Amino acid sequence: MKSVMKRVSLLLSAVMLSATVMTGCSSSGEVSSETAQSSSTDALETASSDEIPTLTWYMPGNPTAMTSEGYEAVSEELNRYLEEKIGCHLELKIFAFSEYAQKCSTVISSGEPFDLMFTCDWLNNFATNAGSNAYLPLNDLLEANAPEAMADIPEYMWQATTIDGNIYAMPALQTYAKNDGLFLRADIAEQLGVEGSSYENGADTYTLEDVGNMYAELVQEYPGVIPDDCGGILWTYLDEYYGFNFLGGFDVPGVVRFSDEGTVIDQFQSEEFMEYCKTVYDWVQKGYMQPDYATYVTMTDQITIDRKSPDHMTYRQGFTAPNVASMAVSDCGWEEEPVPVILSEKYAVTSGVTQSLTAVGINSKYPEKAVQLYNLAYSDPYFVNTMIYGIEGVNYTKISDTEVDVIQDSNYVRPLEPYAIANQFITWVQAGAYPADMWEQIQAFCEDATPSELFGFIFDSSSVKSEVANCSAIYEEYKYPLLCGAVDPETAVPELLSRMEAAGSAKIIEEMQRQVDEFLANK
Amino acid sequence: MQKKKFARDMKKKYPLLLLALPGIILVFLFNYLPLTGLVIAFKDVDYSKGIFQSDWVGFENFKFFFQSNDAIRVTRNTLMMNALFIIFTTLISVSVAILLYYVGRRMLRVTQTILFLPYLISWIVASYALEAFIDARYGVINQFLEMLGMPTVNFYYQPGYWIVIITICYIWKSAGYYSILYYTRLIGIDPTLYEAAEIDGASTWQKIRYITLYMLRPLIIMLCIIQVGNIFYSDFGMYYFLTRDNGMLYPVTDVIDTYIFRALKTINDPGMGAAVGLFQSVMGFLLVVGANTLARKVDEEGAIF
Amino acid sequence: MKKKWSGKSVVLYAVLIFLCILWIIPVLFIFSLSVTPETSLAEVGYRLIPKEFTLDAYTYIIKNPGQILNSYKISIIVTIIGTVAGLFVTTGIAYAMSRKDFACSRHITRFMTFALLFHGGLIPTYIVVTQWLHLGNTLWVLILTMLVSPWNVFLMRSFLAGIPTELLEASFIDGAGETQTYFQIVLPLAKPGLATVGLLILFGYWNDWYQGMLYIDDMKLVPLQLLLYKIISNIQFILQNSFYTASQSGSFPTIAARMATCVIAIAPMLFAFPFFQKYLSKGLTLGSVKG
Repeated sequence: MKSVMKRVSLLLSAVMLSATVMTGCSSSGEVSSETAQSSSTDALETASSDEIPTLTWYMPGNPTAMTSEGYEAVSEELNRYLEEKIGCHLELKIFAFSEYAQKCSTVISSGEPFDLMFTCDWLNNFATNAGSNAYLPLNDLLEANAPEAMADIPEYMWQATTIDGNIYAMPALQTYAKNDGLFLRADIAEQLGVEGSSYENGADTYTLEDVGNMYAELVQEYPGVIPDDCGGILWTYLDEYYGFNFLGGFDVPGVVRFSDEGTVIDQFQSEEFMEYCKTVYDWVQKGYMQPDYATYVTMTDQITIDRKSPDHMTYRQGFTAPNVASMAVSDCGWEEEPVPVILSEKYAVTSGVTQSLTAVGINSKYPEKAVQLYNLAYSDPYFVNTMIYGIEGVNYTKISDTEVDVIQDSNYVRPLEPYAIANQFITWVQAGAYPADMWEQIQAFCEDATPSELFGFIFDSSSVKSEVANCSAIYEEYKYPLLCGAVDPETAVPELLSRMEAAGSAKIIEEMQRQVDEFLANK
Repeated sequence: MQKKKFARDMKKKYPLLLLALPGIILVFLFNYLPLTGLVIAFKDVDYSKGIFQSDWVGFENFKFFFQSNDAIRVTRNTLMMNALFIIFTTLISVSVAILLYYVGRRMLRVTQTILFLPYLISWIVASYALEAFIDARYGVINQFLEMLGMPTVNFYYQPGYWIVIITICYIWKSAGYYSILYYTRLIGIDPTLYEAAEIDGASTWQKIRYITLYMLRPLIIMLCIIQVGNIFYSDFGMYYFLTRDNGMLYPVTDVIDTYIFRALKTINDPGMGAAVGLFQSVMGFLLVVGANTLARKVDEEGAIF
Repeated sequence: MKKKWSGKSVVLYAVLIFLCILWIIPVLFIFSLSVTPETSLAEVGYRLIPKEFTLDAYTYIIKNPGQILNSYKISIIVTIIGTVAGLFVTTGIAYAMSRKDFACSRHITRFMTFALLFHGGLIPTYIVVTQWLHLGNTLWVLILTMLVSPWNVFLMRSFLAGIPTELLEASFIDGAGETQTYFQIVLPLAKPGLATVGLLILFGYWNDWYQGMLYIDDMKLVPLQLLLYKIISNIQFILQNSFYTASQSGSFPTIAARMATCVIAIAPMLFAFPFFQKYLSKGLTLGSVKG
């Protein structure tokens, strides 16, 4: 009997234990929200103690680089430098691009503290997270802690990260102006007699029809060869060509024309959309594009392989700038710099800025230090380039002011993309891969772009969430077939439109118009 | 009176509770505690307040799914495909288990291993194997058709084929798994039953019909009930990778999970995701309660509770 | 069943061999893709026996052997501890559920049914594991989160239900207590069930990368499948930065590398399989006890 009682009491204590875990949790949940509010006092306390805080910085990149033998040495050097400069240590949390969004959304939703986080409009969505208060408003912190970044980064770029008067993220300097176009392999351009465009704004541009004619010639000349690059959906490379400023991203109805930025229209109802769909449908039929372009375009592995093929003739990325030409050389293994065939003017639009941002976590314990750290990454070439290339003499040799030569097999693999860290223009380039004055060229490229009137406008979708969810789900269904010429637009476009309408596309347009009016009124 | 009986029972059988206790605690920690998070289905998530302190919004988060015109289509697809999976996997894996009962040890091991292998292969890898067969240009099937001088088929553009393709892929991946379960149950059958039947002059077919299937019935029923409980869920990876998330195939391959993924890709609202998850669980739960009541009438032992 | 090559058994074997061939061809394709250079894919299409042969994909993955070995070690530790502990815990709870004469069995069953059908979802689970239980970035998180699955418990219960109650009653009449009966009668009789459920638990642990992705940031604790996942995800990154890496060859094995990771990951399981199959033969259990 006694032993039974003992067992029962044991059992009870186990139940109690789980009960305390339960209550423990709810209270700790409260604590975490309290700490969020009192984080600044916390920071003060820690600052007064001697301990050096370690900041966490979430970034997409190459996590396996962290296992390379040289990583630890580089990390130590970074920490030594940081200790001296701003009195903190840095823990980089690097995740592969495919796991990054998932990782960030769990970290954010669970309220886990983090200090800096890469965020943008194409991965770990900035507007959504900022809208749900995942990021700390930085208005009061920037002036004191990020003087260089504040002074340098133009006002309109800060606007692009401001929602309801709160600055939720710090923009990075990178190629923020965009134009449309493609590159032709040098010998092909010569053969076709295409002289190419200059990067100057709006100078000697081509039309889509011109491109079609070039392709027609190529198909005749080289039977069996597909002239178009087919990497990515062409439509998303033609926004400036058609003069559209996409306000809610490519998947959401609602654009303004650069010629009339006050009026929101539904791009799917526009003539341009129909014209585009017909063109692509035609091009696929004529063999200018992959016969199964609609499924091919999602096979990034296959595209990378095909680009190495000796028959590959064209190349396109999100924009047509000097550094993209260098990328083309590297991706396609071409010997000569390709010829740019530019289709549009250059525009500075919000999405050019929001493609690379860094935010401070709402629960960050060291928001001041986090901003200082970002500012250092913005202004200190030594710091940034150590992150990228490692230690001089061990992992790379410096060739000129802006060029390095990576020492092969030095046990340090580059973990990050330079455009994702604060300021691409102070990063050094691998000699041979890019010209030494690459970033000067890019800065010049950006500077003469036409600024959009709505530059800085961010669409807040929170009041039309259901409509956006359903419309983007419907659009995804048609996206590849229609935009990649697999179905006849004469039947598919009306179908898409009627379904979008039923899902409330008009309501989205209406809401967007309201926000645009407000934005322009406050300007 | 009943209390007393319970106490007497516990006094004698408390070791059973102790055996179960570690499992109960773990399930409590990892399955029950997270259920508190279902509240986010009814909340407008604001991270500065934390999930549990966010504002209540009632059924707002459910609206987007139920108001969409596609809810019916994706629910229908989900149910239809899952029903096909349950029926065919059960049929094939039970048959395989019975066949295996009659073969020698070496054959048994080799077959089991081979049939089980696909279970270990992720859908993304499997999608490349599938492509090797059905790719429009380089696929084996189209190479073969070309050889015969017949027109090639771009399977990725034709939704009609995909009911079959997906079902085949599912069976390929899971039949080995289920057949091992049925086989394990089979070898637990008392061999004297067969001996007795043999003496009575029963044919092999009769033995299978009256002994084997009868003995397997509880397990078949139980596995089916559990699968019915999850019938509103789909293996997201399977649909996403095998079809390469191809819009042209949606009339057949768009299921609740892929729809939600697509819808929330841009706005990424945890509350809306949780709302649909809750709907899937509740529907599954109701179905299970129904199926279980039915099962009790057929075979008490097959009912899960 | 006396062995006789009657017409019936010829048909039987033929059917099974046919099934095996159907099942194995895609697997062979995966293997063959892992050693096919991609340039030859575009030339001659998919072939079961590749026209050209290369081990580039494997050398690429094993480029950093230290990390691979470490991840193997993590995976093996987690899998072994997880399988042994998981089997013990699963069987314990399943046995309590299977005993209809036990007053709590129905309650436990209801408790498990509910857990089987309702899922709290990713984010709440993440909060529980990292903030309430503080298991983030530990080996424990890899083991504990997957230790009991309600599905396996129900499977185990159904196998235990096959044990005739008379045997248990006989044991109690002989004076054995619950504990003794469980270890000396029930567990030996349940060997096939234990082997099967053990196999499923083992594969569950071995194949998992998702738990690791959610909870493990420390590269020293990354299990094999997660490492392979990361390596594959990085290919695109590396390709785009080919100037910065040593491999600047024109034929980088992207598809092959995916396939190779699969081969590397599942090959060890082929050795685990026979170990469990030993306990999956008929007559091993009931016959021996009854006789």
